[in-house]
Amino acid sequence: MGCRVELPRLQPLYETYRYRGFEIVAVDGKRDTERARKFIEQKGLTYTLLENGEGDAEVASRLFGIRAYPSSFLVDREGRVLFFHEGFEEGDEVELAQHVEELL
Amino acid sequence: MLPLLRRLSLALLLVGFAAACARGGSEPPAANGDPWAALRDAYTDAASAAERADLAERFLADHPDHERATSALAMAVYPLKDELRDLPRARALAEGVLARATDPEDRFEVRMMLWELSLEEGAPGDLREVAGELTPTRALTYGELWELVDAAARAEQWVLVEEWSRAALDLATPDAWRAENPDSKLTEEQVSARATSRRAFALAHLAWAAFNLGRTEEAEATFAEAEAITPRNFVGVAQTPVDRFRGRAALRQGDLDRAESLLATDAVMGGDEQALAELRQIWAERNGSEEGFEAYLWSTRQRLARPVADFALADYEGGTFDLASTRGKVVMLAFWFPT
Repeated sequence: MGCRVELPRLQPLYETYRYRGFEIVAVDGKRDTERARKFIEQKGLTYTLLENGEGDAEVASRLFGIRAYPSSFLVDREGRVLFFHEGFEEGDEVELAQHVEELL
Repeated sequence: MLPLLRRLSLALLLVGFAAACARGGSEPPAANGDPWAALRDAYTDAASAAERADLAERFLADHPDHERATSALAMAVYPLKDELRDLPRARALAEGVLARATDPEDRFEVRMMLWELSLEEGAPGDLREVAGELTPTRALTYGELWELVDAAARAEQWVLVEEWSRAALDLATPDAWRAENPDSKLTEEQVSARATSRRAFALAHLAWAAFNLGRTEEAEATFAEAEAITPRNFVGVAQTPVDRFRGRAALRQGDLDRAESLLATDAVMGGDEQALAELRQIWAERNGSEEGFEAYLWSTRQRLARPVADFALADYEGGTFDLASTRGKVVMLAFWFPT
C-alpha cells in the first residue's frame, strides 16, 4: 500500500483537527505536476500540497533523508520533529490521530 | 502491525505496483480490459486483507499463465501470511504457481515466498536451494542478494549471511550499480549514494554475522565501518539495521547502557518492534518491572526530537508556502508522490 491510500485518508483527519491547530503539508517527491494536480482534484484534498521545487530538485526530500514514499513526520507546536513514519498501511491513520491528539 | 522494514521491503521487492509508489517508478497507463490493471485498481481500493487476498487469488485462478502471476501471488501470500495467518492457503497458492512457473526469476521469487512461509511455520527451508534456481545460469543481482542476506539473517544462518554479504559488497560500487541499471539517468552523485547504501547494508550484515560466529573484535571494527557510511534520515533513523544489530550485540554482552543508546532511535523514532521490545527488556532489567516504561519512552522521544528544517516550496496555485509559517501549529509533513 502507499501514497494512493495515504493521501485521501489524511483528508478526514485534517477536517477533524484543523480547527484545533493542526496542519498537513504534503510534498510531492516526484514533481510530476500534472499527475499530482489530477490526483488532488479527483480526491478532493484541501490541505497544503506542495511541489518539490523546480530547479532545486528534491530539496525537501533530500533535507529530510527520504528513502521511500510515503514518509511522514509529525512536528509539535514548537517546531520539533517528534514522530516519523514510513509506508502507509490500513489503520495507520488511527495511530496518527492518537499522536496528533497527544500533541494538540 | 508488521515490523516496518519487512513491510517496506515486501513493498519494494515484490508487489510491483506498490513499488511504483515506494520507489519512484510509474506503471504504464492501464489498457482497457487488462485484467492486471483491473486487479491493481481493485486491490488498492479493497477494504480489508481478506478482500485483497480473495482478489489476488481469483486473478490467479482466472489467469494462471499471466506474466504477472508471480506479482499476483505476492499480493495474495502476504495478506494471508501476515494479516490473516492462513499459512496453508498461502502455501497451496504458491505451490500451484510454482508448478507452472518456468522462468528462473519467477521460480526464485515464488520459492522465496514459500521459504518465508516455512520460516513462519518454524522450519525454515534451505535458502541455498532457493538461490539455486538462479545460480546455475548467472550471478545473483544485488537485489536478489539483498533478499537472501535479509532472509538468512532472520533465520540466523550466519555462514550464508556472510557469504552473500560478501557477494553484495562486491556489487556495492558505482560501476556495478551502472552495470545493473544501464539505462538509468541518475547523476554520478546519485549513483555513488546508491553504491554507498549497498556498502552500508553489506557491512552491517557482515559485522552481525561475524559477531554471531564468535569473531567479536572483527565484528566491532566492521560495525564501525558500516556505521560511518550508513545514511540516516532527519530524525537519525539509519537506512540499514546497523544500530539494531550493534545494540543487540551489546545487549548479549550485558552492556545495557550501550545497548540502550544504540537501540533508542530505531525503537522510538523508527518504530521497530523488536528494538522496542529490547528497550523494554533493558528497562525491566534495570527497574525490576515495566512500570514507568511508557513515561521513559516519551522522555526519550523528547530527547531525540530535533527542530524541523524549514523550507519554502511552490504550491499548485502559483504561490509559495513557507513551512516556518506553521510554527505554533501541530504539523504533519508528508512526502508522497502521485501514482
